[in-house]
Amino acid sequence: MSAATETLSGSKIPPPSFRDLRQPLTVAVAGNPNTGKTSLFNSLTGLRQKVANYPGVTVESKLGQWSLAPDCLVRVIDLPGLYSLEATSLDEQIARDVLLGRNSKLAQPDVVIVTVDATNLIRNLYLATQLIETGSPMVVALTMFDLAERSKLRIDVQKLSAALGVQVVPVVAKRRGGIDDLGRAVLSAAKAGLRQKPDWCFSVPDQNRSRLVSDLSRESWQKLLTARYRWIEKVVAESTASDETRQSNISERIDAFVTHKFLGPVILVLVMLLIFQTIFSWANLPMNLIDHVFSALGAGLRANFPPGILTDLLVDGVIAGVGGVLVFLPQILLLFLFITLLEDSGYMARAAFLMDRLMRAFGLHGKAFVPLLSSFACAVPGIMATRTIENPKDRLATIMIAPFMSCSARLPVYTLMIAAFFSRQKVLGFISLGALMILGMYLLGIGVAIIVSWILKHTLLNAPSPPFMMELPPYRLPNLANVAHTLLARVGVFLKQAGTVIMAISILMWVLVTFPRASATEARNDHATQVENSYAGQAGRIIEPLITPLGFDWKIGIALISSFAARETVISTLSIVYKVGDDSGAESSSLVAAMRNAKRADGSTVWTPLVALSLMVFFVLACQCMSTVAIVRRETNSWRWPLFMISYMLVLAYVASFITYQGGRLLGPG
Amino acid sequence: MFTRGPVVAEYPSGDIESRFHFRGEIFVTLDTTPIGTAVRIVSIEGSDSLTLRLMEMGMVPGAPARVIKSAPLGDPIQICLGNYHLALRRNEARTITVTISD
Repeated sequence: MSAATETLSGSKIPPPSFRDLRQPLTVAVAGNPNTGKTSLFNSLTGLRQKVANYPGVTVESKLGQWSLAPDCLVRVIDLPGLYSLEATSLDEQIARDVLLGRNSKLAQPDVVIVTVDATNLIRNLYLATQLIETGSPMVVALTMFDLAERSKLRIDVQKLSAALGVQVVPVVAKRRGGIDDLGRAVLSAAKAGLRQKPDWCFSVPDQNRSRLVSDLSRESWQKLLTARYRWIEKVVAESTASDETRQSNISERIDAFVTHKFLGPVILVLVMLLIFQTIFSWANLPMNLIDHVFSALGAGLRANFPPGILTDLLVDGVIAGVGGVLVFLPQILLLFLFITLLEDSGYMARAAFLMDRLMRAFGLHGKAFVPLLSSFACAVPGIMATRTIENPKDRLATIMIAPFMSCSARLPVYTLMIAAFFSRQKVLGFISLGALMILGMYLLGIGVAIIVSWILKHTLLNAPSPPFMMELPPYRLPNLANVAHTLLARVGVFLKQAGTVIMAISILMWVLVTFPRASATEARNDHATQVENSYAGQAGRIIEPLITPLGFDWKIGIALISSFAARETVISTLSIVYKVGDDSGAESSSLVAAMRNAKRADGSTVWTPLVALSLMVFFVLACQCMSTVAIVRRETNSWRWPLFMISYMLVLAYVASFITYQGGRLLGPG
Repeated sequence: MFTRGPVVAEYPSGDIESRFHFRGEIFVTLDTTPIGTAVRIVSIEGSDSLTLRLMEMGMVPGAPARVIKSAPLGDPIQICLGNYHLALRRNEARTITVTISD
């Protein structure tokens, strides 16, 4: 505790004045993956942060504000993790370009904070020394300092700092330890400006080098690289003392179970089951609550406002539409909570490790497991996460099948169908049929994804299987603040979506359903006639012949059309079509009841369990999400792939839905 | 931490056999290294970006390593390199020559 406590409480670094500094300062946080970069970023900026995209690319960057001193506000950028300046993936390339000032739209940061994991100094210092050699203002933040101390690793911070030629500040991000010291170090680094190149330079002198490998012979770069490691080893040996030689014992002991030959796969399946069961049962309470609030709001509005077109728009359009989607916020939150916990704890990497061999059989990469698992929450972050896959063809194959993973937007559709037609049935006495069916839908998506990826990898995207190499980070207790930050950001995105896209579509659908108004001679208050004659009704009628073989009538057709913008709007559209959100009592006002009561012209019921199943299958396979299409467009930088994706997924969905409905009818009555 | 490993400037060129003796030391490739054995890296074949990346992540001559286990389906394998863990497919592990240290 000696050297550390001194610096943590430290007054050794003189407080510099920052009058003459360019304001506002821009500070980038860079470092190896899993080194507490995001924790540090969060403790620097607190809640004053936002998720944005780097100019021109879809890499999410987090920007925040750090009030370094009373009159000094600093812009902080959280860069994607990178192991070296020789980028091998898109993520790393972007981080490197920002760090070296090669990003034309983003100015080079004034100061770079390099996070260096104190428990893994040697490998972390590789990137740090590369960055120090560039000569730009830099501070090393020694993260995981408490963990290093706990594993009896003593680090002489002064010595390390002297050897590296930049200030080294130990931080314990969780407890905000060392943050003030870090602030002082950043200010003095900014003031000092460019440093001289250190005398231990191992990089190629040319600043414009693109890649070491292509520039130099194999012997030369191996020599340089090994020399750098030797130097780092020497520095670390001189500035640390350790009582134990091995530290990652706990992780290894956990791994004994988690990646065990037999237990490992069992645990993986159990974890996934737990996630789905939780989302389906625990989420019910808050969902009902939200549902009641919106019903009450609609009824209250109708009671207090004069009847008329504006009230109709508010109640049937806005409240029914947006409320119908907001209900699913708890489920989406829980799903993201699990994904974040798995990611932050280090389990995701183990899952990729377990799955790699299996994934390879289908032409995929083990690293595709994480993006695909994230796609269960939402394909958009999932597709973004494919950036860690180095091979472009593998990345493209993963992007193409990511939308088959049942995302949280499909969950409402499944939930509604199951609530309406399969509820309260138990299999084997204790497993709910609903949960089982949801699992079945997820498995259907996965199965089709596997087949499609196999086909793609043997035709369009044929390539030898690329190498698989990934770090298995030590298990760590997820930092609750980080989890909260991630969830908050996701809720924000969802609410924004509900407030803009879904609200707009709800209003549009309401208009299309309400106009042209039925003439006075016809029963104006007869909702059914009104819908039938509306624009939406006409459109539904046009596509009805196409979708009749799938078991859908024209009202479902209307919902289908609207769902191509975003899946969850199918619910708001059905609410509008069936005019739910009315004040005629709690029971009949529910969408479920309206669906159960819906009749065709000949008096038969529209919705049978088979129709519901057919619709669910359609939703598993069809690409009904504008955001996904937009992200694929941006990630592949062409319209070819997104258009291909929409069309082949639509064909698959139609065929599968057709087989479900017609097959089901052959097997027995609806 | 890392101490200098055995200096092996040359070894029979051509195909790397899975196990051979040279100057009294036992050399194996990482994919055939028995689980749990402490080894030191000798060299990595290949000049692609993976080789570079592996070396950048510390797989440099002399670095201590240990094969922890293989995944349930036999591939990939988990390696402890220095003091962190790495997953690697057997195909790539085959390009890494190590010497069994005691």
